Amino acid sequence: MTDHGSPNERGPLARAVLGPLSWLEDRTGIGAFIAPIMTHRVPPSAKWFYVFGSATLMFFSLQIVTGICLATLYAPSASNAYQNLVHIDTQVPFGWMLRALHGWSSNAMVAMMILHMVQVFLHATYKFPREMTWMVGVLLCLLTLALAFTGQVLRWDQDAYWGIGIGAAIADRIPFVGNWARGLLLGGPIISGETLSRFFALHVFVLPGITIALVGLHLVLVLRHGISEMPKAGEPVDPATYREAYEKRIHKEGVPFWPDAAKRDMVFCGLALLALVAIALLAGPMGPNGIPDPTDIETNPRPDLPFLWIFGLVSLIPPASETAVMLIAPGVLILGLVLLPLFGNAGERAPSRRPFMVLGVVLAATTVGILTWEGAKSPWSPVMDAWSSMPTPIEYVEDRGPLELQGAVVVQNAQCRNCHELGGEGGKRGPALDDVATRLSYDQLIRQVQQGGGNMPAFGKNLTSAETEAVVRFLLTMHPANEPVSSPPGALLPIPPQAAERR
Amino acid sequence: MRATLLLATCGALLAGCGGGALPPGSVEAAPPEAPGLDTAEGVAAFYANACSGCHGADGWHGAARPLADPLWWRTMPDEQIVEATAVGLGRLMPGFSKDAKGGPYIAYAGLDRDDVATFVKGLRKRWETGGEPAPAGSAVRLGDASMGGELFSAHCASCHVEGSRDSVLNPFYLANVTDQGLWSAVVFGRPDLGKAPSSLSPDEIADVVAFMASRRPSWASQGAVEPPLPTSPDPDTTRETSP
Repeated sequence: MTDHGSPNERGPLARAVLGPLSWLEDRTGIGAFIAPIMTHRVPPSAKWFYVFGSATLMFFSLQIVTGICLATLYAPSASNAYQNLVHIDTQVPFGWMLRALHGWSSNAMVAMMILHMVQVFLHATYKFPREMTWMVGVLLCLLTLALAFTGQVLRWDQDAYWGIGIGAAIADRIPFVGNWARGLLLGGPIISGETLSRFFALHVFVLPGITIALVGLHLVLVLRHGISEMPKAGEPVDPATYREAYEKRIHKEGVPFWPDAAKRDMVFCGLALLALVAIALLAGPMGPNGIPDPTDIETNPRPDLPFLWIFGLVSLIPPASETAVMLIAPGVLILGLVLLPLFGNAGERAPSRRPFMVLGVVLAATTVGILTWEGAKSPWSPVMDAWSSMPTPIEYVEDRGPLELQGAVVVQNAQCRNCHELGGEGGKRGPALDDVATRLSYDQLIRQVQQGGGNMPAFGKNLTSAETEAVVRFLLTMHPANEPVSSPPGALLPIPPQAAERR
Repeated sequence: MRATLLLATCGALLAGCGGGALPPGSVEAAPPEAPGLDTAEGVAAFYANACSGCHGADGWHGAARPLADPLWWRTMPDEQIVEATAVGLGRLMPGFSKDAKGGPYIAYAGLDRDDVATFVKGLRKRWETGGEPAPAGSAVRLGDASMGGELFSAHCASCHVEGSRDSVLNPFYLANVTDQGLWSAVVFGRPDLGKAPSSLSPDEIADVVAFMASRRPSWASQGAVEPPLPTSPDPDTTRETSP
């Protein structure tokens, strides 16, 4: 289709190059497909504000390339993943750089996506006729965050463990189907090897597949409706006339995307890429921070940057509001974003005429900024050395049996007190344990220790059955003298049938 | 030209990062700064930070063995204490040095065996007082389990009633405790909790410990709480072994 002239009229070199090219073009028509896309006309006012979408796509492409490279090195096995990452970091030539690029590019992709979204929101580009483009964009935003989260889990370190633990705890709060949702997320009741396999499949196949498809749809929609103009105050969108007016203007004033608009995209993407390489060089790869083990939480785990604000939020809100904040608020927020263009697809686009929207963005940015800061600063648990430096209160040691005393040691060793108070000393993340026996029965305590729940991680994989029994026996002594334990007295000391038989 | 410069800079940066062998920032953590472990204050500070959680604020009344027990210090040699402190003992006593089983607790990762030895010397200075060591000595011996069973019935069972919370034949209790721990419990008791050391002879103690060890269940430790208890192993095969 493109006019290269007849190959026979050119010199031998040109023929050698152009011959195969025009053969390819003739058989596939790929140039004819791409050319109109590259040269489609865009408004001349589409300047530097419009580069963030391209940068997001650039970082996504980089994620795919580095991700494929990493997939050739990574083994999604719970017992090897951690050592595997250490191996990539220290043994594979430039393996650490590959991981650093993949990790920081993920943050960069989230950052660019948010800038892109904010720009589209402030300029009301989601209004007629680009409602669907926005809706697909919101889905892409969720997918990007899901990719970042599942990727963090694949590091299979302390951060990953606690991240997925909290994710599972959130899933657990869903009414009626919470247990099932947690099982679906974790591949079982607790975090295990199946969890890692599941997140590997999600991160490497499912989510990228859907994302690529939706990116395609997003781009098709962008081409279909054309790139929007910079908003002007006093020029509201009127669905009845917008299309015709846009077409007219774009024919008169429009410039071809390539090279006029694309050059800005390329300059910005190039600079962003250099910045990414610099960050990757200086900061190195993310993690792995400590072997995942809930009994060893000295590493002060943090979620990755895009989720720090959630972490900060959870550390600030009163426990009673957690279900509302963790479940209902995100649902409302996401639904609101998806449905936004349906409620206001006409009217003014200029930020100067939409002060409440601008205020909303400022408010959201301030809130997320402060919460991110809080998330980075707030102690994971107020007392990280409680387990080794805060003696079990003497009154909880006296008159305890041998197994119960072992349990008291396990409570210290498993670092329960970093989150739970005992005798007024210890963390405040979880409830104090001084009267836990009045609240939970033997069976409930066993279940809570093994499977976790609420915001507590599961200790089933990290405590032996005998240690679990010892902890629970000790905890069953934790009740005020005048208050009975919640389990029936007969269930206090069941003896294994074989032992009873032998007696 | 600019592009060439930029590439050259990037190349130099990459080359500067150890040829890509190690990620930046992966320098070994510096050892913790604390008053030296060769001073009484250093020993007290480290004890308060790392040991008091289980062994009690002043070495008494903790959930685990009281370290302030002078009889224990008179009986146990430094090497054994250093080994347990550095590497750990069973699953309930973590190691606190670089050699710890299953990796060191991160806050104490800077310690090596010599530091631990210095610390143990300091503790000994603090708590050992004159007197005789325990007659049983410090070496754990496993005697005749069947004899131990009879001794247990005669001397222990009246207080350590099986099935009660004071039972020391509870399979879960036995699964958590090492032979060393059983032996120490009999030899030293828990004087801080009003449990006096045993008055049995060293040979009798060896028999009782062998009996208790023979009752230890052998179910897979990571399994569910379904104890298929084994038959008592032949006493001859249980000698001088720790789980």
